Amino acid sequence: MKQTAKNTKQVPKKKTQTVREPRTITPKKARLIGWTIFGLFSFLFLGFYYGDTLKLAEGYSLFVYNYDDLTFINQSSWGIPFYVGRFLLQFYHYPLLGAAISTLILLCTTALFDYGLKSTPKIRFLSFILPTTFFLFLVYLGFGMFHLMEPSLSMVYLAGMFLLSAIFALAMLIVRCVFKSSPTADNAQRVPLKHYLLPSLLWIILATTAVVYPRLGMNIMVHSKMLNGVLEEQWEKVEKIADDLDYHTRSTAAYNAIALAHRGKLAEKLFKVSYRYPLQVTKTAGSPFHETMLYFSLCTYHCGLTHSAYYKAMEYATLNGFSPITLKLLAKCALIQDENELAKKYLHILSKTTFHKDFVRKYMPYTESRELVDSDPEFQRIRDLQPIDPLPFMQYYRDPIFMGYYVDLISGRSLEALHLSLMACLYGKMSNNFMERAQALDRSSILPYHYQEAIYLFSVLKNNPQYADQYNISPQLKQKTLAFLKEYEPLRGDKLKAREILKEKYLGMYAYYFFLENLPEESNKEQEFYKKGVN
Amino acid sequence: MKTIRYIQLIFGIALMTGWVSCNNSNRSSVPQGATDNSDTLAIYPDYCDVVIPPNIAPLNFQITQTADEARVRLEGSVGGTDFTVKADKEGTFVLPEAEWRKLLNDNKGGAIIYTIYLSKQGKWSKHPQFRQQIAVDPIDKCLSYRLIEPGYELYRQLGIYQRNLENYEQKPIYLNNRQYKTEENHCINCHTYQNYDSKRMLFHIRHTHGGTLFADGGKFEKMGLKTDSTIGAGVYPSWHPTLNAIVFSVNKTGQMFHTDRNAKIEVIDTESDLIYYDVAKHEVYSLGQTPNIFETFPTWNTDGTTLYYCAAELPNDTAILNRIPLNYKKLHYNLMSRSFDPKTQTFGQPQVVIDAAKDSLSITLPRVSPDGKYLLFTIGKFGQFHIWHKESDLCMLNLTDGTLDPLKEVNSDDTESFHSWSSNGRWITFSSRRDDGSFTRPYFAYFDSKGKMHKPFLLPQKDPSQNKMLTLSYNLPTLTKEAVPYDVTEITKQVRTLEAKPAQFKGNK
Repeated sequence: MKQTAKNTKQVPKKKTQTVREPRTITPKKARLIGWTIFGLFSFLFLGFYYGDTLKLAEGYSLFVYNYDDLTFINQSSWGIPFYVGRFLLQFYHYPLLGAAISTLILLCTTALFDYGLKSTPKIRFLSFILPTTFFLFLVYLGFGMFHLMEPSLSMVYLAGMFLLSAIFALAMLIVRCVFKSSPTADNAQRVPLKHYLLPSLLWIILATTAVVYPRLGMNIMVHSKMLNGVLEEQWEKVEKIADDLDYHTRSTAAYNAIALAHRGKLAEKLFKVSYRYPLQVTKTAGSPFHETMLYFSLCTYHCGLTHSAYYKAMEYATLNGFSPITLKLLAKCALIQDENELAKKYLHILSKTTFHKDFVRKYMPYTESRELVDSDPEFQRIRDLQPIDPLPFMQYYRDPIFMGYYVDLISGRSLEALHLSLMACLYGKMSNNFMERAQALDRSSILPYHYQEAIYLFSVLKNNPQYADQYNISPQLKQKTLAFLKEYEPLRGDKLKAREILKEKYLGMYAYYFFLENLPEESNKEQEFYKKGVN
Repeated sequence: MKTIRYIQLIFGIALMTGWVSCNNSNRSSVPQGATDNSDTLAIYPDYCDVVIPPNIAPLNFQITQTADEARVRLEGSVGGTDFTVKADKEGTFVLPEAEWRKLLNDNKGGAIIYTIYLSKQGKWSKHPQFRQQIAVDPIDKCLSYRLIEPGYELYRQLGIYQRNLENYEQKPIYLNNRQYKTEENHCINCHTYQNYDSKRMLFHIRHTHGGTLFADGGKFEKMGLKTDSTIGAGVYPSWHPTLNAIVFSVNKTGQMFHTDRNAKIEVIDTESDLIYYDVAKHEVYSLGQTPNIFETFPTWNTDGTTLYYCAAELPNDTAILNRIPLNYKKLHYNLMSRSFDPKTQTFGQPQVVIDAAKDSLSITLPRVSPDGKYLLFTIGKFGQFHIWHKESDLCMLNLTDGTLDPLKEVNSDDTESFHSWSSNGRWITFSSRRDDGSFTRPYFAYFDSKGKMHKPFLLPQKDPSQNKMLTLSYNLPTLTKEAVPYDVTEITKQVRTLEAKPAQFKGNK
């Protein structure tokens, strides 16, 4: 027994002997792992997560090598930093290229800070933390950064941090030379892993914040994706993004409508999404994000109102400076309007950029050949939508003009113009205008879903069943409309409650939209804060 | 020590060599063995066969044809040293300033003859020559203008600048806020001087810091010219040539945006009158308040005894007057005048000088030549804001015999609008949209002693492609004998700190 007791006593002793040494790592290896994780995070964050936004920022930021030609920035006290920022931003025309260059700069910045902090091992981890603030700065700017007065602010920060790290490293080098002190850190000496626990945690918190925080607010990232889709005319992609959206802002709804119009699906799907726009104005870098300024010119262009599109694009350029996106739109409008010399000017400016020369190569020959303009499918469509006999001034139409013009349209060059007009009337809830135009539809054919709904709804509301009888309307659709009206009637006085109860069952129906969505009393009118005048 | 001196010497020589080679980098020689080629080369800007002032900066230009190498030889018709310049990769010829200056001096009254040589695949060709006539009369040294986007309603970065025409130096006279700030945003316009003298000047500030800033020999004051008895603040000014008094138009202006592809903007006055402002006493007088007559664009003749202006008349019918935008094509402005006695500061009755309405035309922006013999104006089909009317042209009235000159040498198929004379009356500058139909550029034309206007030329730039890259329009190009003597920081301080004093309305004149 004694022996046993002895044996049992020895067990704990044995245990203490087998306690493992703390896991260690050489500083060099730790840095290498850190840099790899940091580099990967940076590339993925910039190239994929913020890729669409940075690509748009590039599109809204003109960069040409001759500084004197950048009149919008060269008289500002921040002219040179903006020039550098725009130089770096231009690579985001290809987001992965931009991300790779930015990542390289961030890694160099990290290395330079690391070199400067060599002699103070306790705070050497800051060499990672400081460059990480770049991502937080991006988050501060928000996904709407392309709409800032200076879209390259993020790159200015990046370049500034790199410069700072270079100065810091150089200063430390001089200090070390003057005082003949050598760094105390020994790369070969192993350091317990736990020494890196706190800095790693701190870094993970910062990086997670950068990733998670933007998703808590309004999702303008989707706005960027859709706008890029519109600019690249990837209509299917835009439609798909819109289908997956939980809610729309005015701009995402507008991009969805443009895509549906191009795909001939307006009358099938326009009211499938909710038009309860958020009331709060999104902020970017602390300022309101006035998204309407962006989509006005695109909507009017795709509706065939090139004059109005030119006007809106020029106003945008006046406020924010000319950019590749506005220059391209202005050039296209000028070409359609036979202003070839003007188009040449815009194309000439674009030819001085690094990444927009393809556009110039395509459209410069158009300035010399009317045939090329006339045979271009995009321009053909726009021309087919152009007004035949418009009212003399834009102000005579309801605002915004791409809606106002189409609700007043009485003659057009193409069937698409009629469909746009019908849908504008439905969106504007202008039943009489719709019913007048619906007379032009082929009554024997099966009409698109929203037309059938609207015709039946208006005939019920106006107690005019004969009107609906002229058209081929599905009985199920009639029943569903009547069921909606029956359920809506007792809730008429309380729109909020009505939505709560009816949304799941009826969202996607025109009747639901007509009574419960896009209500004038709930509209979020953007503050008219720009002073206007005669120039 | 000796070694250091040697190093310094070598370094100095290297620097000098580098400097000299940089400065002479585009000098070249006439290529040998060039064969004659009858193809006339297009150059940008079109400086062929123009008359130029003897004090103008070098007229750098580009050739639009591609070539492996291009050279141009400049020689004087009278004499002096000729020189040859090589084009850069873009086909731009940057002419050396010192040689240019000497060539102009040596050939005043004569011409410069240009010969362009192109090299393709190692073979040189010599193309037909073109000339520039050098006038004896110089142009006023300074041109001031506002730079602004050809936008619609909005403005952002605006500046009034002055350009030294003898070189390429452009300096700001005043810049509004460069960064967007709601509480700082302001528009500036209508820079005006007294009799080509930039010591007395004014310009308007609208919105924040609003008022009219007057500068006179280093003294500044900001005035609010709107009174209870007039329809608004002063707009288009004309400073009396000798008195410290200004006639302004006061306008209620709005704009409409066309849907038709041939026009973009219509700026329409729904009311306008003239006021007389005594600068020293801060007193405003009305020159008549006529709701159905729209007076605007006042200008004095040379000795200040006649006030010219434009006026359109509509029937005195509220149904029409309340719907002016609908009737905008019915607004035809006549050229009018009123005599003025500088001693008593009293005006005579309005007289029609040219009845443009009779021919369904509309006259704006009258300007009398410094010798008092001619009146230059802009003519269009209707309305008063001709910069947005493609058909608008310059036209000249001979005040001695009443004949009109349509100035075919000067006008283009596109808009010609604002204009001003040089103080010697031999040059005019005017804004034109002939380059691209949208971005206004200043052109200059020689008006010889026989009363003939010559082919105009574009404001020269060090890099001629600057005109293509600049996305701003030149507004109100105005010639002055000297530069504005006030520093931009001083004017900025005055604009941002002075409060606008209200002017007093003193009745009718």
